[in-house]
Amino acid sequence: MDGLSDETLLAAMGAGDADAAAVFVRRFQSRVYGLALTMLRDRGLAEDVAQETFVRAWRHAATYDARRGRVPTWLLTIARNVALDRARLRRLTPVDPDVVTAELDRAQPDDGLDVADRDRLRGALAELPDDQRRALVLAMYAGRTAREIAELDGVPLGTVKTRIRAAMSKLRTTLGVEHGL
Amino acid sequence: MGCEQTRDLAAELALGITDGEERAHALRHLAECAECRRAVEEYSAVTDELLMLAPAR
Repeated sequence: MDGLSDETLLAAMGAGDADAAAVFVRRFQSRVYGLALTMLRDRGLAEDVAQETFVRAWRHAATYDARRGRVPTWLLTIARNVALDRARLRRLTPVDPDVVTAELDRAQPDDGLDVADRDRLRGALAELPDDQRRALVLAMYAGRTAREIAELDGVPLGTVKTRIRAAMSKLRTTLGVEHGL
Repeated sequence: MGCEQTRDLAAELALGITDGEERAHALRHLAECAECRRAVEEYSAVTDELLMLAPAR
């Protein structure tokens, strides 16, 4: 079963196959936990998020649509939502964007995903002006709204919106050019 | 909400950080405008890749 594609495993899990579910969890656990830990900086909370993520994945496996993205992305989107819910519920102070940026820079083993894309994106992130990267990281990994970031940093709302847009636009170009879009 | 306002909001929509009311207005426009939908999708491709940057642990 370890040789099955992500999509096949997910479908089997959705159909109630317990072995498939076990393999699915084993395949993605470190990635889901890693994202939760990056976002929350708390091991216990990250474990809790990982568990809840797999429960939701199992519950919603039938609604997965391959045309709308790959399984890892689908799963990590669920994990991000769960992590943001938890952070909001506990009123956690937003993660330090510099700590998150350093975390994203950690070397990691080749896990079959597109390493070249990841490296390119990491490079583009590093090249962003500090204020743009800070706004983007707070939005992406702490789920802060533009208004919240503006209050946090004591800058006008319009400035934050412009920073987020500029950062996203540069990253889009980085990925888009290489994808030949 | 028109095209210009929706485009201004496209990055925030892809990041999922718009407030409820803003989001509702934008979604209504997106339902009818393929070009704006594509703008949001392009940014969503960025957030998808950003999710993958977090190191596995």
